[in-house]
Amino acid sequence: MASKGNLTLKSCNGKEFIVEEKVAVMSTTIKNMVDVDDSFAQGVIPIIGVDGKILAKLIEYCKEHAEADEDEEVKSEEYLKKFDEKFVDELNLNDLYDLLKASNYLEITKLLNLLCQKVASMIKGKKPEEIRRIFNIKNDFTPEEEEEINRQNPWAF
Amino acid sequence: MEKKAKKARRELVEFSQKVKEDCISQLPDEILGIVLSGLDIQEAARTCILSRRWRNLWKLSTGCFNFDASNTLRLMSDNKKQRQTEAPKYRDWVDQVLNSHEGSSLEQLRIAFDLGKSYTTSIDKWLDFAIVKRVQKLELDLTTVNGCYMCTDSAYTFPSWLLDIPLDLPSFDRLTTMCLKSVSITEKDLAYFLSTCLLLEQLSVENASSLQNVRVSGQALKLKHLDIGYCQKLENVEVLAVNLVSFKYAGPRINLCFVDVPKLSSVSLESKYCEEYIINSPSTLYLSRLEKLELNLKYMKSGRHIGFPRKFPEFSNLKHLELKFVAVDDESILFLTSITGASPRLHKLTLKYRIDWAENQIFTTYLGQFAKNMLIEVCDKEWEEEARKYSHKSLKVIEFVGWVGIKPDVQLANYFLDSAISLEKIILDCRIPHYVQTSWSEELSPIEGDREAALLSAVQLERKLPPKAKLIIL
Repeated sequence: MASKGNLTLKSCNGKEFIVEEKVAVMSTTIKNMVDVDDSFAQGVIPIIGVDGKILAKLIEYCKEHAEADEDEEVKSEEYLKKFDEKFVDELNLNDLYDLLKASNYLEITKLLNLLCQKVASMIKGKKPEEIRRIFNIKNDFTPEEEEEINRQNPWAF
Repeated sequence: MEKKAKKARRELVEFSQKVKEDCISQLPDEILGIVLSGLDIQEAARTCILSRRWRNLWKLSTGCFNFDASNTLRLMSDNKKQRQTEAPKYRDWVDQVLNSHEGSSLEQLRIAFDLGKSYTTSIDKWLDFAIVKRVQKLELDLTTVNGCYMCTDSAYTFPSWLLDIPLDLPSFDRLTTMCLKSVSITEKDLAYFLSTCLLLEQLSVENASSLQNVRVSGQALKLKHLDIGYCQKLENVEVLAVNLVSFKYAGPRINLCFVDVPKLSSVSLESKYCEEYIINSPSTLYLSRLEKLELNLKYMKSGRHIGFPRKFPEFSNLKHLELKFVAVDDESILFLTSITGASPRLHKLTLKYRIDWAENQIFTTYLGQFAKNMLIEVCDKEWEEEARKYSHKSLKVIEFVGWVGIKPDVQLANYFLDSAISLEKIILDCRIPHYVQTSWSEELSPIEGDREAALLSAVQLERKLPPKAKLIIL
């Protein structure tokens, strides 16, 4: 049972995290749950489809940003930028996907955008073959189809 | 640097090979849509070749559609490619991409190509697209390849009918930045944007050939940056904008009037006699709040100092002043100190200039030439007197970009070494700034004349240097 001002979040594999409400409501989904149903604020909020490892990561991110929102002086924009950079740099590809899905589901817009930016930067400036290799994308076009797409090329001017 | 990038790339590939599954393609459309919005349109569209899953994903991008064709434009200006063949291709490209777009909105749309009024139907359609997709940043740059600012009849005209929108339909309501170049727009249509787009923060209008008056006003105005350039028929500009931070003007002589601009801190003026805007300004209150001022005096004719104002209203908060000009080789430019002299808190002064050899002016009589020389000389003496009265107590950094080391700049440098008592740094940059057609570019080229002489004169200044100051020669 969390004390006043705190919420308990429970991952899909049963791990519980007690977090400050201001941190938890960085997620619009959680905010809506708490706003609509008071019992969530008292009891445990199940976070469906997100395991303990990913949930811990999410909380780490939200904590930094919630504190920065509250007090700009302690955590400057520059500090946050560095934090964000380090945060995404340390992720492996699987965690990156899991966090993308989780932040989308929990509607943590800032984080979702940050992670999407990371993926975009991995695509930027690379040839299709390289992109396929990085993300293990299988080319399922027939050679004829591929030629057809290349002929239509809307991107080349 | 390259090695490092290669290594990082290799690591990325190695690392990803451990993950055999194609997880990224399993992410929902909405997430991949955001990913692709982070790329510019060419790059996003290129992902359609990756696999069937990616075939149409790029159409969901809500990011930036930047139809950049600067390479083609460069080839056209070198006559290596023809406008007649390239312009229709550009149009088809934009048409094709915009027609395919499926995202509900779009953040940014940039169209930049040499297109005239014969493309009206297409451009109208693109602007309508910008409305429907509620674009936030819009740039329409139709400047011709040869930079021609006078061909008024062939210019595209902004479609007034497009602004006649019933309240319940999408409009330009989310617009934060708008830039129109070589688009003819009426005063009324411009006023529409200023009164209706309540989020508009940045407005640039360049080469709007028929525009005569610009009146920026409205208490609800969010406008922070206003930039007006090279509108040949422009006569009056009146600005009443409580949030305006920066203002930039370039072009013919106009009546410029600031009424209520409490936040204005940066002004840039480019006009042959732009000091007059300051002297003739009906209200000088804004001048006392400026922190950065840039004046481009362009070509200064022989005898420019004769009528130059000796007393400017005080620029009480000015920290950085930048002066750009082309001066005559054997005439003093000491008169420019009347501006620095009116700026008690000036911290940094940048002079970006070129010195032209005096034209041999043909006077009808020998007497005429003699009289003129006399006048110049008398005036020179007067300015020397005048300049002695100004103090530059706060001035710490002076930059001469285009140092030649002859009379005009040497005299001015000597003057500041005497009068700027807190001077910490004087930078003499012997490279020549480029002056192309109407404006200064950021490029610098090696000195045209005698570099040795320029360096020698620079070194000579060192002896006069105050104890704490440094001399830097570039």
